[in-house]
Amino acid sequence: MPESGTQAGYAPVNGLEMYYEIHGEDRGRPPVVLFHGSFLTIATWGGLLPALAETRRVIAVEQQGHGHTADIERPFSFEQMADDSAALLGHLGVEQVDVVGYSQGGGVGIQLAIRHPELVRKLVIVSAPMKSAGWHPDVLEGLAFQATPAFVEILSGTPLLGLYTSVAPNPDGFAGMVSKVGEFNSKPYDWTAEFERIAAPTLIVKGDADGLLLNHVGEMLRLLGGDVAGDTAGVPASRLAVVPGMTHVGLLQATDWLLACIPPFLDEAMPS
Amino acid sequence: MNWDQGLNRRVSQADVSRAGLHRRGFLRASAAGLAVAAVAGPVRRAAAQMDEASPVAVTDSGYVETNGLRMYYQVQGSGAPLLLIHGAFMFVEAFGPFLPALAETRQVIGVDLESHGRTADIGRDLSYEQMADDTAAVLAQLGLSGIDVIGYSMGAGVGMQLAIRHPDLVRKLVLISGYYNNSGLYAEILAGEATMTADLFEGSPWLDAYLHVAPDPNGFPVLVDRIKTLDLNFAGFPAADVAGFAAPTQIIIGDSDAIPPEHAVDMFRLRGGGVAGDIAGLPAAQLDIVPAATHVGIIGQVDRLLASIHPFLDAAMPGA
Repeated sequence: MPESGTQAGYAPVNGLEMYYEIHGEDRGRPPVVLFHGSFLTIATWGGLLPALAETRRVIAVEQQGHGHTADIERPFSFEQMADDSAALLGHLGVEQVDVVGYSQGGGVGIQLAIRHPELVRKLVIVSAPMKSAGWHPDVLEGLAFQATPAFVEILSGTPLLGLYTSVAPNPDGFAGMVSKVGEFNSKPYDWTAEFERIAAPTLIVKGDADGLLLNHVGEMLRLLGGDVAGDTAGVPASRLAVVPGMTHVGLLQATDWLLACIPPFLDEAMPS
Repeated sequence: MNWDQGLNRRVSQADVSRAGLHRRGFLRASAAGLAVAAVAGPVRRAAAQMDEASPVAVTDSGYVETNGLRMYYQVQGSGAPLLLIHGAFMFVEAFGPFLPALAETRQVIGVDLESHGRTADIGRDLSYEQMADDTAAVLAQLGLSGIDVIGYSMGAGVGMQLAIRHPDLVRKLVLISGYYNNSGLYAEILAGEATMTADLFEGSPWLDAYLHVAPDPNGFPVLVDRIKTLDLNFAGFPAADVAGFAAPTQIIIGDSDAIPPEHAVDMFRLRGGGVAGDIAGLPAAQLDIVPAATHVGIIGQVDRLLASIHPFLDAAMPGA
């Protein structure tokens, strides 16, 4: 790995040529790996990536069919994306990382912690549930709609199309990518049993209006050992940050709020 | 600066700090039933911040006679008026550096609630409704209405009753570590409070501070009993009342507060929250959960609190 500057490349993993970028210098902190959301790319991390890279090495990846990473003949899944990411980290010779995943990428982060626990030191889940029923019914309706051909048409009228064609190895692949995301996002899942066994200290970040059910997030915190009176029981290793006046889409761009909670959580000493 | 000027005995920020109030007993005691709490890191950080805080001069202070009570108030800072309501066992300055930080951009009106600080006990049990009515009388005396209100812990309950009983007085309401019924406190907190006695405070810096400001130096055990009676017999506010008042409300708790997140979520929903904002739009209510913050420690996270409170209060009223 380079000592400084930004490096980009493709890692051959599980039949995929998986794109990654490495930003920032090694400053003695564990590197952070960033997992983007559905339809998104490394570029959509906005101000968060450069800000994190000022104090640590940041490894940003693009998942199958997203950004620079070409699609291959297999469906999308959280588990596969986690395995691909683990293989990429192996390719780079990285033994342990802190994980920050947004939305779909939060699900990938959870799966990485479940399937490859040795790789994950700390986990930050930004606006993602541990089961599909953790979404507000309005969002579930939207996710079901993602699986319909009409959705491809709608999304083609948004900046997401330009975002895709600007970097995708197959500029004509947008419709295929959208329908594969739709197929995978509309599939129910429930990782409760595995989630409870995650040992990595975990920070859950959500907007107060982000479409994740608030009680679901409370349940996630409880499963990780939180939801206790810290003055008497001590402050648990896993944390919850709810950002006021914030939607799901807005949270990704709320760099100040994310920086207010993520680096302090990552930089705190590991619980003994 | 002569803090003893005038007839009213005052306690300065520096006095509070010297007494080590926030460092040990006081903040522990300020959370309902937390008298035996371990002192956590955030408390020490709050204490450190407090030592650096500089007081903002009090421009007006005095007592308002209301319902048989002589209720102490003080005013400091300049800007849009903001009422600050303290929690159990506290008084105005016990907010520590949070108070001068607010006073940098606001005219902060602080009250000492019944049996607290410089406001004497008058031989009756505390009630949220009565404390709200008395606070309303202070605002009336000062000629204030339609102002922003911040209440912490017990003071959040007073703030809610103010918004319920005196809606014209409250523009927006910020509830820090508040609860509207006893589902809003962890069971062990209430259990701890049931066995709490004044003896636990013996020799604590908190008691020193109480003696410094309280009109009756022997009144502390009475205050302990008043708080226990208030908390252990709290029937809660009807959900319809919590849902029904007009003031846009921001609910703030720590992620390891004395208040379970589920209760804050319950309040948030009653106030109109819990929607998917990208689809439904943002409601007037906000929920802010501060990571790694306890009931006692949250009030010391001044910058973090102001990062959410200022934008919430400074925004135009919905529909304005």
